[in-house]
Amino acid sequence: MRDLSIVLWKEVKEMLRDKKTLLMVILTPIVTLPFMGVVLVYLPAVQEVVIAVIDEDLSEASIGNFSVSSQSIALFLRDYLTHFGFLTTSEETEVAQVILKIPVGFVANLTSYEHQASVILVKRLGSPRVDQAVTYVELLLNHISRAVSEAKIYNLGRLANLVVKTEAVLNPIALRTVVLTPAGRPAEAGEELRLYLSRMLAVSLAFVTTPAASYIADSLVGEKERKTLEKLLSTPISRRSFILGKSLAASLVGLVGGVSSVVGAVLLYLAPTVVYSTNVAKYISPEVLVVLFCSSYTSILVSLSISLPIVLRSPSIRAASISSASVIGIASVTYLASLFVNLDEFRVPMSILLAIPYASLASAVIRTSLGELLRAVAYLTYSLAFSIVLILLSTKLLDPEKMVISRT
Amino acid sequence: MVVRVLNLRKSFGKREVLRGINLEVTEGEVFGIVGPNGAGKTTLLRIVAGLLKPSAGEVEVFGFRVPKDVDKIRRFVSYLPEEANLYGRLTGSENMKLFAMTYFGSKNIDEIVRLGVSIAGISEQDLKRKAETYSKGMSRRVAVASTLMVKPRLAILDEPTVGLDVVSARYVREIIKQFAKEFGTTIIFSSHNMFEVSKLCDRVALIHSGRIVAVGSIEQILADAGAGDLEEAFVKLAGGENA
Repeated sequence: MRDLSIVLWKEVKEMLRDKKTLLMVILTPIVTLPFMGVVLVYLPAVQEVVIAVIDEDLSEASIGNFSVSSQSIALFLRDYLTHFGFLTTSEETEVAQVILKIPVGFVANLTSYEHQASVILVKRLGSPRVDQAVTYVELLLNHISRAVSEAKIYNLGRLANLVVKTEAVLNPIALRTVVLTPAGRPAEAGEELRLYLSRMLAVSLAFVTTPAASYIADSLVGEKERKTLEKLLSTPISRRSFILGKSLAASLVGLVGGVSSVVGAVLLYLAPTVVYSTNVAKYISPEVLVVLFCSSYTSILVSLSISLPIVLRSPSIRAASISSASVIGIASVTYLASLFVNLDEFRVPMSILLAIPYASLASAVIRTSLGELLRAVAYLTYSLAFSIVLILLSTKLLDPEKMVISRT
Repeated sequence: MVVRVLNLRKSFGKREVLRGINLEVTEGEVFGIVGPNGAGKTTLLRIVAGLLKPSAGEVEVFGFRVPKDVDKIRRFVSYLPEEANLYGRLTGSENMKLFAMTYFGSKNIDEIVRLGVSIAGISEQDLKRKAETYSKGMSRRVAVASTLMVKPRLAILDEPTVGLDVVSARYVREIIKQFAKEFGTTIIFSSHNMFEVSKLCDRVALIHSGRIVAVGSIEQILADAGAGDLEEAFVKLAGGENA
């Protein structure tokens, strides 16, 4: 215990004086999280896409009392697309990434009962925003199609002297979707957005883990590089205290990283609130912040526990550094995967993924957001136990000979 | 007997670095291990300090076996590696405090550090500076002081003056000499500088290619080799100018 406090005293002194690294641990989540919010939510919305809506038909016709003109359709499309943030033009231009042509004969076919009208949509491959533009064009065309169908059904009913309900003809099967949370209660409005944001928080664990994992690797490898290790290992300090002292110091980095990630998370929710003037901040909950803090802290402990045996048994400092970089890589990929899938919902053998503590930690954040706090606590406990066991095992692995003779 | 080494061998993979070393170091003597770079001096000292394990043979320090009793040995031994640096972000005084605490916990720390300061001979102002701002000579003085201030029963100093300018090297030699005289500490001191060794040591072991080619007092080695100085004796005993 006395030895442990000596190593801890040294590590904390060194840590507090390494202001640049400490600043990186603090600032990385605080800067990266709101930046991620802006990049993922705001930037796609402001990227310029030019849509050309070209009316080559220039004609009009009617269905009963319902009159249709190609000019009014083109105008409707351009107005709404402008409203959704796209640039529109009525002429074919090289800068247009999406071109919608209303060909000659379009209105005649649209109002006929025998032919189908067609339009030509051209898109240039380039950005996800172009795909978004195409989706909006398709939605608006569906809207027009529906309006024309309603007019036709109404007119046919009138000619046949029948009482016709347009919905009964257009959608004989009505689909009502009820959204439930995993706990079985009806999902509130905005629940999906809440889940999306919590996925971002799970990804954000990578930003806490990266600088902290580098700190941990440096704490061990750096002793060798700075030529301080050999003297310390020759003192009466026990191997166990050497490893545990460094681990405890790293866990202090974890505490700092955890607090920063909570501040970053609040900023992540505030960024779209400010940018869009919509209250996204209401989706943040104390439980999510607490679990995020615990997950950040544990994530750093997990990185430490995985790095320790690798660093301690590496034949050279370079090998140790590469190994710790690989740990960071695995952590980042796992956290990124949680943006797209629920890592805790696979069947055997893929369910083994959850054994990766990073997957458990990402799932803990997402499950908390879904109201499954107990499951989140179970995942956190597993990851914490994983790291403690591995750290204790590492104390047995320290071989001063290997550390002293490892190549720089 | 402070150190007893019997038929010690050490290999790293297929490379044999120590090839049957035998030596004894007695209480209170300053014992020099002299040899060129790559002779095996550092490996030998690291084994005695308990950092490396022997591949074969026996090593005892104060009657305790290496590597079995290494935790006990470390309490009596203070080791200064050849390339030891101070913790750059800690001040000189904190570096001393750290090494004092590793031996004594928080007991009498101020007194031990005061002794360290007097050994290092650096000002209070310099002691409050971060060690990363020290010159090489100043760093080495603090490192040597940190090793000796804990008053170990055995101090192992691996090339403590290597890379230092003439003045700093002389100061470090003076520290060691004075400390050994004042506290009666046993010191094992390695160097490839024959002049330095002849100035400091009571007895010397000449090591070449992992073997001890001569051991005894300087006068005895010179007489046995029929040489005028230690350098000449080493060349004769190691087998020619290419030794």
